[in-house]
Amino acid sequence: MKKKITKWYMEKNEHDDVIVSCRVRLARNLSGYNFGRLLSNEDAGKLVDSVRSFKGEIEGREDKPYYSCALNNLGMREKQVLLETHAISPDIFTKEQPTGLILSEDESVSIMINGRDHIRIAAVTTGSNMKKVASVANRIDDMMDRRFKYAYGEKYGYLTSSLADVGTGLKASYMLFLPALTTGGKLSSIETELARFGLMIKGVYGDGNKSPGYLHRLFNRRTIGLTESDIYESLEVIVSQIADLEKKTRREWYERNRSDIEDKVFRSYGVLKYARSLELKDAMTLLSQIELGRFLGIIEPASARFDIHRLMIEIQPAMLAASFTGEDTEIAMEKIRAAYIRKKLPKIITEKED
Amino acid sequence: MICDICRKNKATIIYTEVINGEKNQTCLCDECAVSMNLQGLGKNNKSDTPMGSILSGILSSYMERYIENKTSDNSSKAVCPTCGMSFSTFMRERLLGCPDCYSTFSVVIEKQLKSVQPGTSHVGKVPVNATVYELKKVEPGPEKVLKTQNGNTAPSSKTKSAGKTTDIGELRLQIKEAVQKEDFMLAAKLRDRIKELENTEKDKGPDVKKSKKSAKKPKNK
Ligand SMILES: [Zn+2]
Ligand SMILES: [Zn+2]
Repeated sequence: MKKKITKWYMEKNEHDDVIVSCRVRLARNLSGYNFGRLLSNEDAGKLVDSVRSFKGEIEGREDKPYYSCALNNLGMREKQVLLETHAISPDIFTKEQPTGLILSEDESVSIMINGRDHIRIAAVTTGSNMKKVASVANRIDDMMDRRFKYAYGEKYGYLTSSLADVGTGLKASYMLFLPALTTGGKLSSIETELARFGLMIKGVYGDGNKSPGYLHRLFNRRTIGLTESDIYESLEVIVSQIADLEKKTRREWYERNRSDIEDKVFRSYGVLKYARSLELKDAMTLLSQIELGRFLGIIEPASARFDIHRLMIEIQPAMLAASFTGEDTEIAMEKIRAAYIRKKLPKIITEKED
Repeated sequence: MICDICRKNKATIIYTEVINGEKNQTCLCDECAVSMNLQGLGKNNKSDTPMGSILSGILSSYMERYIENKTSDNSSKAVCPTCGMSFSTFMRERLLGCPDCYSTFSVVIEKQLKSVQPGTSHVGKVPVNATVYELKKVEPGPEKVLKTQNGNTAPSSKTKSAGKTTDIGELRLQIKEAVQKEDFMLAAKLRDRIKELENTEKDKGPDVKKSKKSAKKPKNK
């Protein structure tokens, strides 16, 4: 049952072992309304209704189903699911005013209404296809431009509620899986380097070295004084350098600590496969080891479609609760999580036998 | 520590230049730091000599701080006429209240953008159907408040010529504008003019002071 290790990753895009997903977000505001902080409740209601009516139009033009809701009316748990799948951002999650969301059925496109800005258009895809998401977001932006009256300044471009977005209103980001650079402590020196290019990197589930799952978001800090394509270009250049460095570091690390790393990978698999209770942070760390082992050719999941990063999202608390169909309402989340992972974790094809 | 240039005032800032590997330190007082910038020490923002531009950055940001300190009583009272956002709230929360806030707080916005962004003017995508806001010369702050309080409805004087006006508050606003445009020569002229006015007012006694009370703020607050 031995397969060539290279096969599974040769089929993917060059940096998919590092780039988990990419995302484009455009911040837009409408004239005639104050920005978020000074918007009256009444105006907030009007704004949300007006923008939500755009759902029909976007559905017609994009030719796929969209879902629209008054976000502030959703239950806490539903909102938390949207937060965990990255469909909404934390600032809109906690807002009490009328807020709204238009979301494509596949959740790859979202329009947040009355968050920090009146409108935030976001497009996301797995792997690295920034060009694709950029063009989707741009197309929806054009549509909304024709339909609504954006607030725009000759000098400052798209006027946003925060100076961190003004100009293009664009934040483009890559979600990166960086176990080797994080563990090796190289992330802080990269952070310093990035500042020179106007880019930043932040932990997805917490700060710096402590981000569980070794997931980090690389994004542009600069939004004004350069064009959208300048922003995409600088990110693209840097992301491929970081990806190369991460992969090189993984291999070097493996060369130096072969048996240690193999032990860790198999041990992680064993725990995930047989544990009866798993905390979120531990589960994410263990899953990261599996992913690393897969990259290094130590283990190979029997299912080629197995997506570890998707699983990391599915074991977040609200997602997990939403998928739980059992009757026992008192059961601990850690037990549900362990059961869920046992069910989802594929068998492995062992490459190496001593 | 005494200023290396005038050998008179107390030095408040130390510049370190490294030219061809040689370290060169200069101690400067407020006044000399400002006038050195005028002499073009660092004014070559776009020059390709890195030292020049770094120094220029330090100098101009220092100068802005210097002038801001002198005018802080004005800006700290500024309020956006459209949405009511106050300067202090804007500074604390770093959020704007409406599109017109970009005009109201333009001096500070320009300064903040300059420190992190490659430019302070948008060069990207242009919408086709947007409401376009031009940067208005909003005159926020105590002047506006004052006028309504006094029932004085006269249009605010938009004196562009440097130092022609005798209104110190107006002069301070002009200084901010000048700094924003990096016209430090004008800024220094205006600053001198304020000094002059302050001195003559002192001489003239309480009558004149009274009529200008609001525009110029008590130093001894
Ligand atoms: Zn001096
Ligand atoms: Zn405003």
